[in-house]
Amino acid sequence: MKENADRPLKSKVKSAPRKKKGIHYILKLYIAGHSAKSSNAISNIKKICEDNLQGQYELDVIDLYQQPQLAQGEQIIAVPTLIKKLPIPLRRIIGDLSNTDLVLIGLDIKKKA
Amino acid sequence: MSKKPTTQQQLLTENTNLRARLEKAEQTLRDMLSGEADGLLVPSAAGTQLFALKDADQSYRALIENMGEGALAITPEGLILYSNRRFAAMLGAPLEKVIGSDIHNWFAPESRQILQMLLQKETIENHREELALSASDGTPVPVYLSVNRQVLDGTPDLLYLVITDLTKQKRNEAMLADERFARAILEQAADVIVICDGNGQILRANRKAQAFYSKNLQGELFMHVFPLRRLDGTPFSFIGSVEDDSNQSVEMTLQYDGQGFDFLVSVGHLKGARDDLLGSVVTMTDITDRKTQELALRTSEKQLSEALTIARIGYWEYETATDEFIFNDQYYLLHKITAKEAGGYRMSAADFARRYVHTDDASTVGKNLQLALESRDPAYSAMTETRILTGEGAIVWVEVRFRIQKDSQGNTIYLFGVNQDITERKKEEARIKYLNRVYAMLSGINSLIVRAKDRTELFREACRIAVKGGGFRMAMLFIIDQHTKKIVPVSSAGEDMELLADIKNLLLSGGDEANTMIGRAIGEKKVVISNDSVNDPQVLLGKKCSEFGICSMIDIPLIVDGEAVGVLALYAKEIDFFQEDEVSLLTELAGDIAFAIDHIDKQERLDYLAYYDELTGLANRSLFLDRVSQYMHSAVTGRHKLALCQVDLERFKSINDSLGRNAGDELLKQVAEWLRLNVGDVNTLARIDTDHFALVMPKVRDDGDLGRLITKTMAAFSRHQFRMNDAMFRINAKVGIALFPDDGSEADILLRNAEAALKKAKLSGDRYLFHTQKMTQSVAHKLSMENQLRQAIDNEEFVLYYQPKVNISNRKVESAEALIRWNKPEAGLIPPGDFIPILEETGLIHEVGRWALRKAIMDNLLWREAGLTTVRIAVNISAIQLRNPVFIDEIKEVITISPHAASGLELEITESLIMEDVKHNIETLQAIRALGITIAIDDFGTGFSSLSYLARLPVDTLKIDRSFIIDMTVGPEGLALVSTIINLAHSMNLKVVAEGVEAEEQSHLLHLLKCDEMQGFLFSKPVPGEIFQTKFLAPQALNKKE
Repeated sequence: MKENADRPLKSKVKSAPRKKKGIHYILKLYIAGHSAKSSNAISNIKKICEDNLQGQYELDVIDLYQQPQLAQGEQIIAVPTLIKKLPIPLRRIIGDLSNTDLVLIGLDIKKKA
Repeated sequence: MSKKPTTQQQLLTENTNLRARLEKAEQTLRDMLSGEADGLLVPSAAGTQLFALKDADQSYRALIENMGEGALAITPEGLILYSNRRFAAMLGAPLEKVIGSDIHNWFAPESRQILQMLLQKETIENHREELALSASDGTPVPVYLSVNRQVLDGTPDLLYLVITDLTKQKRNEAMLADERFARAILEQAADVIVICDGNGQILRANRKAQAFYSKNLQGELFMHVFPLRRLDGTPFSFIGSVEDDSNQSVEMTLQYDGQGFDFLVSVGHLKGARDDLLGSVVTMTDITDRKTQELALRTSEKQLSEALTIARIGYWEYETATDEFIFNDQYYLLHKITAKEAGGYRMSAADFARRYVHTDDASTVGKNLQLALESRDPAYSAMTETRILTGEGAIVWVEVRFRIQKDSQGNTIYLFGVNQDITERKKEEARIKYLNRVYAMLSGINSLIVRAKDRTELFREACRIAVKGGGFRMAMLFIIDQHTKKIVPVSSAGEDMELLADIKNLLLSGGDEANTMIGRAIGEKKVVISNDSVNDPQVLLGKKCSEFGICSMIDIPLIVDGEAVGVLALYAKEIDFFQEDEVSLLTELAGDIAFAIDHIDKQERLDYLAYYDELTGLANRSLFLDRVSQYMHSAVTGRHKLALCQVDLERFKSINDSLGRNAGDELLKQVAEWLRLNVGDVNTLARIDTDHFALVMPKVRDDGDLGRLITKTMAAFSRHQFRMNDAMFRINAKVGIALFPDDGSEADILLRNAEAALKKAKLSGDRYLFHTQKMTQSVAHKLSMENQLRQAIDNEEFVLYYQPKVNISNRKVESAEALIRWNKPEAGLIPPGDFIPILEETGLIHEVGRWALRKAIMDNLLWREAGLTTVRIAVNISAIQLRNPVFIDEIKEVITISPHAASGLELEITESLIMEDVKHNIETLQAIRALGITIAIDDFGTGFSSLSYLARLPVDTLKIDRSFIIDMTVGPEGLALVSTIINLAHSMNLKVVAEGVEAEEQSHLLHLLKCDEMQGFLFSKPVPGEIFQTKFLAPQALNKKE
């Protein structure tokens, strides 16, 4: 995805407590059409990424209605599912990703309390 | 659920219930997973929700996913929650990268603000805006953007965007505008312009294009309609050749309707925003005509160049500023060199003149150049012929034509010229000139061979014509001598005596004869040519030739009856004179000469037989008569006689019979030979019959002469011994003579009369007879007289008589004339007129004259010694004596007898005799007078003396002829004449003696006229010496007289 440096989507990064500098994240969000959970999941992960991983991530959003073949081998049972491909270990998070803390923990950005 | 403590039963029941519920739920799940259910109704606090499990909204999805526009669902912030595939395609990005991305990022910067506004507007509904996307590779994509806002309960606002790709539509618009503009150009363009789409299908073709095929081309494939080929033959296609430099015009050909067309083709490609080929504009300029013209021009140029080469025309310029010539390739061809060999196309004038102009013409070329440079005429042009040199130095004749160019000041700055090789023409001209010369010669020779009578004339004239008519430097004719078999020059013209002598010597030297050109011409019987004699090794006198300006030569054999009898040699001043045509003509000419030789030979033979006696070689009767006729003409002119004699050989018949015919022939030959030797000119002899010879004596002065000659000749003939069969014979001849004009005025009559005389002689005893009896007698008489006179001399029968001359005034004898008398025994005194002429004819006069002179002197001396009166004795001198060169010496001798001899002597010479040869006689007379002897002119008045000579004659006495004395008494004229003569003589201090004075009257008159002396019967007739002595010299006689 193209990033436009001269026009940041969000001007401020509010907090990046555990941001791991130099680590690149490859994230894939599997959704199913234009459902509320899927739309929320997109908005949420986008917000989380921009807040915590700006410039360090790559996010693909795959609508399994449109491209079901891209789910093969990914062991997806339900959608929305976010998969962190890199850095390892691979993690899966099901849901609309509205609990930011859980997402951050799941992405190994934030440790469990 | 209740929070009260539960029993085990309660627990078990609850467990069972739960299992049942689990079982129920698992069953539902199994059903769901096995695809038994489409949807799932899940009760929740908000009510039961339907979960469609599979394909429940498939049709909607399909509709959106497959629509032509991009469909998006975004948050008001711009986060893309949904995008269909089409939108991702518009951006050229993977769909997964588009969903979840910021919509703003996908719009061109200038469109973002409008997008921002649209997204934020609360009220906007179904708004439509034209914006530009920015595709993943940065290319702008024009789009229509439709935005719809939908507010859903409990969910954030969502914006639904429909994005229509305007690219194609935009393109069409652009093309439309272009087209409108182009249409005008298209339709008016002179070129064929065709617009095709990306597949090569013709969208539009201009009028010119339509006109080319006379049909509508729209919709057809360009390749099909215009099967153009490149010049290398490959088919032309512009499809898929976008990267080709299409602006460049390429020449191509097109075959249509059996005709070839040439086009300059350029292709302009219409490209899309992403460099994709939208279509092409093909412009084709019909250059068929131009090509044809170009081809024609090139052909014409090539032809011109070829023509120049063939015509041997070279172009040149001269640049005044640099003093250089500028040449073209054709020009160099004239010099048979290349520009490379010449050192380029420019050459300095000096260099050019030195290297490529004939030395003799260099100055002329310079002058011509100077004239052109100095000319004030801007239209000056000139034409000249000159010789240039090839690279190898050979001469080339060129005709030079040039004009000039002047600058604004009138200076000649350029010369432009062409040189044409006219060597061939020059050669042709020379050729024609040569040929004309040969023709002239041929014509001359042809007329000659008809005209020429003999070989000498033929040869001499042939050579003369060759030099004069043929213009040859020298011409010579050689003939093979029949006896020596040597080649001898018989005639020549051109008068190069030295070269001629060399050639003769070369031939005489013998050894090389066969090697000489002449020798080869004869030996091989073929024409031998040297066209460069000076350098030709076969010409042995090459060096000499060059001295005499001989550059080529030819030796043509003269063939008669298949044998080479001679050679015609021609020497020309020109090199290479003898070419095929000339040789052919000259060979013909030599053939003519050979024919003439043959003809003359045969003619001469015929002539010989016709006019000559074959046996003796003497003339035959007919030629003899012809010659006699000619001699007769001369005799008439010379006023003399002519004698024709026929000679018969005595006993010839018997010799012939007894010794045989061959002996007879031999005798005839010897007789002819004897006549040739003894009678003189062979042209006067002839054999006119078997044993008859004839001879003509063209000039007979006197009959006596003739008789003597005949007698003498016949005597010699009879003494000659002829040898036959080894025996010696003497032959006698008889002669018959006829005289012209006495015996006939025609030759044949004379011959006949001579024959008649001969017959008579044969019958008589006479050895010869004249045709007339009188003639014979006269001749016989004279011959007899001659004999008697000889005897008279021997017997001293001559005596001197003296006639006194007396002084008229005192009648005294002062002198006497001595006169010869012949005292013939038995006949008495013979008068001088009867024998003096015979003495003179026979030459006896010399002897008799000498005797008379001596006798007179002796008589006079005797008288003187005897003391008698001293007188002067005059002796007559004849012409024959005076002409005798030794006459003076004889006189000198005779006067030595006595010192007084001379003083007593006078010589009388007739006037006519003196006048015969005045000049010579004056000298003789002077010599005589110098001896002291006086001289008297006898018979004065009869000799037509010129007075002027008379005054100069060295004489002392003038004797007036007796006829004047006789006439003196007849009339006053006679007297006046004598008076005048006497006065004339006296005025010249001459003594005058009158002859033949017979009467006193005459004596008296003469006395009156003051004549000095007189002589005549009046006083005394001539008397013997003794009587003269006693009568006129004795003192007593004088006394007696007194």
